[in-house]
Amino acid sequence: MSSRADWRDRLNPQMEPGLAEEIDVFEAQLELRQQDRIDERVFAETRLRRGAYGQRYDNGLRHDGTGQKQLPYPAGRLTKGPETMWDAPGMLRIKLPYGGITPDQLDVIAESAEEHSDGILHITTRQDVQLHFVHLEDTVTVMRRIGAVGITTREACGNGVRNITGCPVAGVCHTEAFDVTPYADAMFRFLLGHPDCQDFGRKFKIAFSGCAGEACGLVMMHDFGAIAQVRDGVRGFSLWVGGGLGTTPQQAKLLYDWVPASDLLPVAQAVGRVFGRLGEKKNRNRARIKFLITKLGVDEFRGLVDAERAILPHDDRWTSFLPGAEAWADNPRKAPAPRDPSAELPEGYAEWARTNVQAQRQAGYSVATVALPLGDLTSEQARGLSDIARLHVGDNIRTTVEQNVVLRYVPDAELPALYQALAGIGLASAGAGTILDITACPGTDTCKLGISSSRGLAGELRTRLAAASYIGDASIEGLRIKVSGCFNSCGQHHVADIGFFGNNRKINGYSVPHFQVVLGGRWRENAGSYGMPVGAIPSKRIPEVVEKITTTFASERHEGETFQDWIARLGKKEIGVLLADLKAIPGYDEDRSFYVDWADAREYSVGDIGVGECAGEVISRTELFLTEAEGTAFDAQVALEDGDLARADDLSYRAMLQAAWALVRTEQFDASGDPDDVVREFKQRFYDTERFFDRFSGGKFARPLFVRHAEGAPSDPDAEQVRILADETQLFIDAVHQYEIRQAGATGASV
Amino acid sequence: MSDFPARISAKFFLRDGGDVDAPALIPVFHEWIRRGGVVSGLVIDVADYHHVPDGPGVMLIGHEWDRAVDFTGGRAGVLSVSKRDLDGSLSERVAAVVADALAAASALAGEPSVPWARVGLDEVEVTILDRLFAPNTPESLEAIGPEIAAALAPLNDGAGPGLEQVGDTRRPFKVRASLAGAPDLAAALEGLRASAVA
Ligand code: SF4
Repeated sequence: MSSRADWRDRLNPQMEPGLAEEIDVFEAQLELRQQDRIDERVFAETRLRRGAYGQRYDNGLRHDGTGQKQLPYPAGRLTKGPETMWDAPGMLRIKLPYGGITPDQLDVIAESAEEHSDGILHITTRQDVQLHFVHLEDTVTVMRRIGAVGITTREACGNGVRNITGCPVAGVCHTEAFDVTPYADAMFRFLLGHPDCQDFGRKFKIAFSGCAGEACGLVMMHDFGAIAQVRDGVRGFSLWVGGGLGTTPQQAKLLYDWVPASDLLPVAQAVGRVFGRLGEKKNRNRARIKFLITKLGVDEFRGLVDAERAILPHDDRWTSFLPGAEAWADNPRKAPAPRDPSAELPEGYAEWARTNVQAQRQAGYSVATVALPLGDLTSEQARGLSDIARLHVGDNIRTTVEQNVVLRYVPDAELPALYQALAGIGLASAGAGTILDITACPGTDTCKLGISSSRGLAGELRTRLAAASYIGDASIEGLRIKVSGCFNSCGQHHVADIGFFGNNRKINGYSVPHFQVVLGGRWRENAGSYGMPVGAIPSKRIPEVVEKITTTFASERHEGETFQDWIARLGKKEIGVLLADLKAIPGYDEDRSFYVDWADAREYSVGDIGVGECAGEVISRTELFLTEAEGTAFDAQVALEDGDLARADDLSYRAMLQAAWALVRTEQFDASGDPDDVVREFKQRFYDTERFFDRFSGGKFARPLFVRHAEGAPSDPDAEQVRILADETQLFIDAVHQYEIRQAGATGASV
Repeated sequence: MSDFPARISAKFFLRDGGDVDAPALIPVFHEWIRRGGVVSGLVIDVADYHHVPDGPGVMLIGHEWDRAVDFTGGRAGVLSVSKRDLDGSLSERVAAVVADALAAASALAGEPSVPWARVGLDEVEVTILDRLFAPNTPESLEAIGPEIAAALAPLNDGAGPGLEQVGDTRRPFKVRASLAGAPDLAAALEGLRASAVA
């Protein structure tokens, strides 16, 4: 077969020498690992830094709906990382800074997908391309093939600077201060492999935005972000730090309200140094920069960055890109041309143009969005798209965080022809940026940490919504839906109008896939605020949730009221009432479809969830235990609603015990689960020491546990008392979460 | 240059490509994984791409092989892709891949929940997914066409069929062959297996 050596001989001369060498080194490490001559952990870190991730089932186990079964991979016990079998198919992530890609690059990725993957290119929510089901031995060849056309997988994963995202309409947008593209590009090149960015405890995500008001850059949810501003005719940026999603979403804090462009790279370098030096290293779950910012406060952090900046040795690269950046200009393929109003239009064009086309700042040009279902396109479509781009727009292609592709600088006169060409390759779907354009992370399809099927749900919603008449309402059509397979939030559900993240509930002894509903996140203003969690609903009822929420909003909103305002007006309680009947689940024997996830056929199980190296944060043991506690608390609510007071009381108590036990086990790994031991240990370690206390509530959220434990189960439970206990249980679990967050901040700065 | 391609695929088109319900394959493929032994090699997972127009539909992902009811080119067919090195000459390798596609088609023919998944034996597409080994050029056809034709001979009354090269040079090397048509899947498989070293 065509070997890696064949490709190396052919492609190495075409690559930048440094890159060719790096890939050679990775290949050598791969061979050493195959011979078991380097440690699996060392190899795992190397592999991740080269963008090669594990996928679901890579520990060699898979639940087939009846039980967990061994996958007998041919390489036997050889691993490519801890609990990661050598032969398990993996994912390769290709970085596209600011989503920029040329037709030639797209062709090469298409070829690589076809020859080394499953023929699908998947656009991610951070403008990367991912290939799935790639054999580890094949990753080297893909790296070489894409490296020969100037793209890389380097640091696409692992604890480093990930892809740098940016507005896909930068340079053609009406509201931007200036085109951020060359600045994002310069930072990407400067920080790639930079020695000051090799010692992070966790990943570091950077975003650029051309203005503050629109969504495109999503700066507020990034570890580090830059928003363009011009002051006194000088280009510069406001810089933001410490944003993030995941289990503890935080909005970024203002680091500097303005720095000139000449200071952009040294400040980023100084931030990297401070984060590398003070960020948490041991506990990956607390190692993102947001925890360091929380601990230190942004003012102290800024002082450290200032001090670091002052002693940085000068680097010519800080400013050598500036003349080129100032002079940066896109290179349209064609001259602008207005559309001929008398020209006959193809069928379907008007609707497509309404949702997928926006006029550029440059008269006579438009941006056309190619809406990709679930971010997927085939190699054949990718080639077709690159042909279309060559004809109409040249190199002006970008991927988007909404998992689409935009073609920029389409002469207006050519839009109908472009539409027809896209229709010819099955890529002319209308609905970009509407409720039909659903974003979803990989979820249980391929991600080790997936809890529920985000792609399955997104596909189902898309199909149903496309056929639903109610989405024609203007107030509904513009809403955004985003789905994550778990709380790590790669689907960016926090900033959706209607967001979902997967979780699991144990009901009557069966695991039932659920999604937590998160409403009212703000997409605009660079992901300006996060949504409100309003409760978990069985996966199979989520389409009903969407219909109920959207139609109620359309019919009951006040004149001019936004979705976010409506959600805020209703509040958690009223929304809870609105969705209450959708929490019900038929019995297992009555309707088994509720016990099977979307786009799956196996009885649902969480047995396939792995620990480790996914696109998101690593699940800590505490979080897993707390998830169980939440599941039990949910069951208590269900029992309460069913009028089974004794069971609701018992489940509430057990949920509090689980949460307390989760904390105890952070300090005593093998702590007994006996209720007396749990309560005693929790009280001694966390309550009596006041460590559990917060500034406003002291330790009051723990008291219901002590009282219920001391008094035992009521002989004749009172409905009101049990309802209070169920509510207090949720507050106790929330307080444990908060304790974890506080701890995270404290630990973050202690290293 | 190596002597053999990294990946080879074969696709037999569905007899009635008009009434395909791709999601119905999801439970079928999951059940194949659970049962084991339905198709050869290690089967790992089911990948659902039925939302992608003219895409790979629903795939049964394996370690050595992927199988799918594939819609590429706008025509549905049972596809098998060999992903790991095979044994034998190129002709034997192609025969092994074609045999695997027929075996998958045969297994699907036994699934009552997908009555539309029945292939015709009068046409097959063979793709060499390795541009380094065989770019999609007339020279490649000249060089490896005879070996592919020889592999298909058992499905064509023992004679190598004519091959029609498909697609331009940016596509992987692909040929389509019209076949005399074996009487049934079992006979076709038997003939092929005799000439393949799988
Ligand atoms: S970690 Fe969770 S949110 Fe991220 S890709 Fe995996 S399932 Fe989706």
